[in-house]
Amino acid sequence: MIINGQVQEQPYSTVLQIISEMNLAENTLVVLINGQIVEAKDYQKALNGTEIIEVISFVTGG
Amino acid sequence: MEIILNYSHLNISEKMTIKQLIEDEQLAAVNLIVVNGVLENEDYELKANDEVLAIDKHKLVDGEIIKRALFARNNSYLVTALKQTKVVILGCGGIGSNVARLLVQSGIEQLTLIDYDVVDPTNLNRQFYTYNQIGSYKIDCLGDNLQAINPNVKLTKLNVHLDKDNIASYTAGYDFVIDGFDTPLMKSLIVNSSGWHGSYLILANGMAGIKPASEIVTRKLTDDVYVCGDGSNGVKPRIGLMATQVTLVASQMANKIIEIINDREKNEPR
Repeated sequence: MIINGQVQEQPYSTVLQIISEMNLAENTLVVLINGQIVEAKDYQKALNGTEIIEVISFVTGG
Repeated sequence: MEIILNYSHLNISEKMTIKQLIEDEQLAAVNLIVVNGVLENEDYELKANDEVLAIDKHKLVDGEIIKRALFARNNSYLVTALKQTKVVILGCGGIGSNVARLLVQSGIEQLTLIDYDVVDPTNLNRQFYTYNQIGSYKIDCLGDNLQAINPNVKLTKLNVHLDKDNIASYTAGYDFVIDGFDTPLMKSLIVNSSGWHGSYLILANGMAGIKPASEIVTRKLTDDVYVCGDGSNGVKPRIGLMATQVTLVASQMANKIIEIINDREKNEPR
């Protein structure tokens, strides 16, 4: 499992877990798994440990 | 041989120069000459299919000539594609107002502007508004400013506060959806909603403070989602929003739109 370019020694089981670990709020980000945007309703789905995951956190300004 | 002079087809003799053409056609007071998108100050021997604009720049020429002359310096093969492109601007602040300006200057004429707020004095350091517009609705002011650039622009102005219940309906049916929101909540809302599917979504993320321009980048997230910005610098106390950084991000967003249209035209010319 790779998250934001970093190989994970211990893969996470769900996207929710990753977000929680990163101390981010679910409604301020977008998550991609293997290049596809993941809907928030799927954040609780089990991951298989081989995913390439990207978590993009939005910031204020625009 | 045939050329196009002031947007009309014209047959001229071989090896005719611009000066000869102006004399021949009895064009009075020509002081602006653009040939194939390039400003020409020297005499020039014309070639078949050259596109020549020769006008008096001190006069406001009416009709079709002025309409097309607005984009005489553009890549001419993009004119039709740009005119046919529909864009919605979600939020008419620093990003939204500047992206709208750049798109209109590039030749896009169909824009929907969505915002519920008025212009306030703190906006003027970076948003495309003027001092005398303070207190007026942004959609009206931006509309006026865009029409002052191109009177032919077709605008839909919506005074709407977007939220999770209505965002999908307001973002459906466009070629490009522009994130001009200023909060992480709304940026996340748009990308995670369904209305924009079938369009390209261009997001803005990270533009506060002052840093080298090279840190403002465009990233492709998926085949139809791009994000422009430095990715990390949000507004904090004493780290605000400067025109130079905001317009860098807005430029990258507008540039990506024009690039996508250009690539499509190269592959499937109209």
